[in-house]
Amino acid sequence: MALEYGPVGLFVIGGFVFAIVALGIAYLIRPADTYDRKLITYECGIVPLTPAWHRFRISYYIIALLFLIFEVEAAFLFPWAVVLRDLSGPQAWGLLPLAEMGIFLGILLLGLVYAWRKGDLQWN
Amino acid sequence: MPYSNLSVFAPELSLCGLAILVLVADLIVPRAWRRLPAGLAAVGLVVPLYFVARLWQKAPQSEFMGAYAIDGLSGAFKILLLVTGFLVILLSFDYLRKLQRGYGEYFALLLFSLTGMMLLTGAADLIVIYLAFEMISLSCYVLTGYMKRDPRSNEAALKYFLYGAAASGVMLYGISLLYGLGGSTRIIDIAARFMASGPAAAVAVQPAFLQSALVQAGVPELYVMRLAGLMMPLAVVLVTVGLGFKIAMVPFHAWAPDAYEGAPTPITAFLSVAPKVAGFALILRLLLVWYPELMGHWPALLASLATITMFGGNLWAIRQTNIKRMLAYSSIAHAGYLLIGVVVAATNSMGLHGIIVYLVAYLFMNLGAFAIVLLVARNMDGEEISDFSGLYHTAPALAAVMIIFLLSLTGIPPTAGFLGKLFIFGAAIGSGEWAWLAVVGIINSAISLYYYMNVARVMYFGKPGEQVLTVCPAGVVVVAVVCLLGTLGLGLFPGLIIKLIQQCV
Amino acid sequence: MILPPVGLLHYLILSVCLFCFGLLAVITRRHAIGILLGIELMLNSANINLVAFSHFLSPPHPVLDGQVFALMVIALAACEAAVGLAIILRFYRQTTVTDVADAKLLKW
Repeated sequence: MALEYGPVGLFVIGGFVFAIVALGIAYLIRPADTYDRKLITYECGIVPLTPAWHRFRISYYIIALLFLIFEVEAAFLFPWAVVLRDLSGPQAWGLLPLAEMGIFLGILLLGLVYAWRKGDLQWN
Repeated sequence: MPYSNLSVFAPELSLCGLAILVLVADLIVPRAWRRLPAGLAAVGLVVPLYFVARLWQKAPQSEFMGAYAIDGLSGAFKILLLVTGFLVILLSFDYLRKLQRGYGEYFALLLFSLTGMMLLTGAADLIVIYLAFEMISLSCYVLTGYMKRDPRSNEAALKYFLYGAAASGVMLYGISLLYGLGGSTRIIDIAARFMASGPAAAVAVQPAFLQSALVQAGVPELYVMRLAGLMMPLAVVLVTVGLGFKIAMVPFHAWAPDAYEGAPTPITAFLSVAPKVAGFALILRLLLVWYPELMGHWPALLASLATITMFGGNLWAIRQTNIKRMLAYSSIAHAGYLLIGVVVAATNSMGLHGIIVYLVAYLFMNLGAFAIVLLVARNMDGEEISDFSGLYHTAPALAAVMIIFLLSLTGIPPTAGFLGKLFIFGAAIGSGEWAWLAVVGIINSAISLYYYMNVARVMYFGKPGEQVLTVCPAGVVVVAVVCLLGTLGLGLFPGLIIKLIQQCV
Repeated sequence: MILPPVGLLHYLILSVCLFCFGLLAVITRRHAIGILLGIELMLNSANINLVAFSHFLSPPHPVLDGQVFALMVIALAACEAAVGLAIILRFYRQTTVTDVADAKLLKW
């Protein structure tokens, strides 16, 4: 019974060991040379100018949101794709399953067109 | 045949289609014609209304393998929702005149929200319930914050969102437990599962299959019994919390006054009526299917919640100076009165009729009051009660109409509000067991008289302002007239509506 | 020491813990995005429940209701986050804070 936990236990132990060993080696061989500049938040090697709650261009945000929604809706495609062959065809529901997904994607696409026409995808 | 199913879904499909059409129309038509999609939204509501009316005459049925129910109850609620939607669209035309962009989108969102509410009235499956819930909420959050330039609108949306999302999370957890206990997402199957395990143990039911799974997992038998016995009431309470948020029940009402005050006024009117109609439809469906197997103690729980909701709403309403905030608390109190009907409806169909009569009355009197608030705010540029000062002298007709709505909200004959209260309190007294709730309700009506009549006092005896009513947007006036006719008509000729409701529900 | 096999109860305990953490975050956080994170935790705890129940409680033939439900919840959670972030961002742009304690234009 305890064996069921085996992989989990190994994973946990392995994780800790890896972290300790890797960090330990790094600690041993790296030169210890710290000064103030090194402790500031890392931002592509450039000195950060403002706090993180800086006013970003709104376009970043809109694109991210659109991506988020489309990406998650894609989750519905996978189960559909798995059963599509069984549900389609003359014995079952014919083209209905295909049409249903078409409607679903059509509505999603309409949303994208809407955002585009309203100028929310413009990078200016 | 999968195609035949869709006919029962026609109202929702056509409404959703209408919303998409409005959205597309908003993209296509030039800015100068932006009222076209909005008008389309109002006129187009006839189509779903027609489908609802046609389905209403058919026998009750459930489709999509029991996930969606069509019956007299859901039909009545759907008609209420569509009428509310129509009146709110009429209220919105003038309010949005200054909106820079997103004119058509507003109406599309309103229709999407309405679609969710229609779905909720017929939902007989946990997945559909959750889906409809989110569909309503997401559109309502956005609509609440629609006046982007107004910081109060933003703040209202923020609070509404945070409260609402947390509540839906809590409710979803309760729903997931119910799914585990019942072994199905269909509410009727869940009820059957509990029926099989014996109606005697109403709350402390232990579904055998869950037990065996837990025992197999090595949990001692005794703990399993206790655990399963605890899960059921926990699930019911969590779901009640979620529903309580939606219909703004005390103590889950904290979002309501802020959201109502900050939201654009037509949306406040919408929020005070439509989600309540949908929420009560769901509560009634759960009650009718699940009582007493799963929810033996639900009426008692709801009775205590109804009591604090009535007292809370009415007592807080007294000290408000902003009319929208006052109406928010008043709508909380009205949810309390409606809950009395729910408690009674568990055992007595009188309660069911009472709720529908009350909701019809509430729709007219509350939307009517908001129409007057809109008219006054449009001219006085303020939403404080003091802006009503001396309205009787500057606009006597308007003041008189407002008085009628206020009297109706209090429940004084010969108005619709009286009829509603008569039905609900009558049902409570008739049930015997819950007669005390009627007493609480009557005491609360007396309390409410104080703050409603305070507005009347300000209108008659207050010092009239400089401004006179010059702008009377047609849409708002139409709503006021329709609501006035509804309020008085229901009060003076109650026979018609009662007959209709008794026939259909 | 003999440990029981991983079963339904373990998932339930995990989900209860997750739910409580989420609720705790919602109650104690003063930052709007912190609250949103708590809400997401709550939704995911319900997802664990749904999938676990669906897996363990649907003999003899597997019914995927719970999994389908979880899928719906994931999609809706994303929509909720999108709407919520938009509202929070709008609020931030006007007040330059996201601390809900600073939302006091309308009295609490």
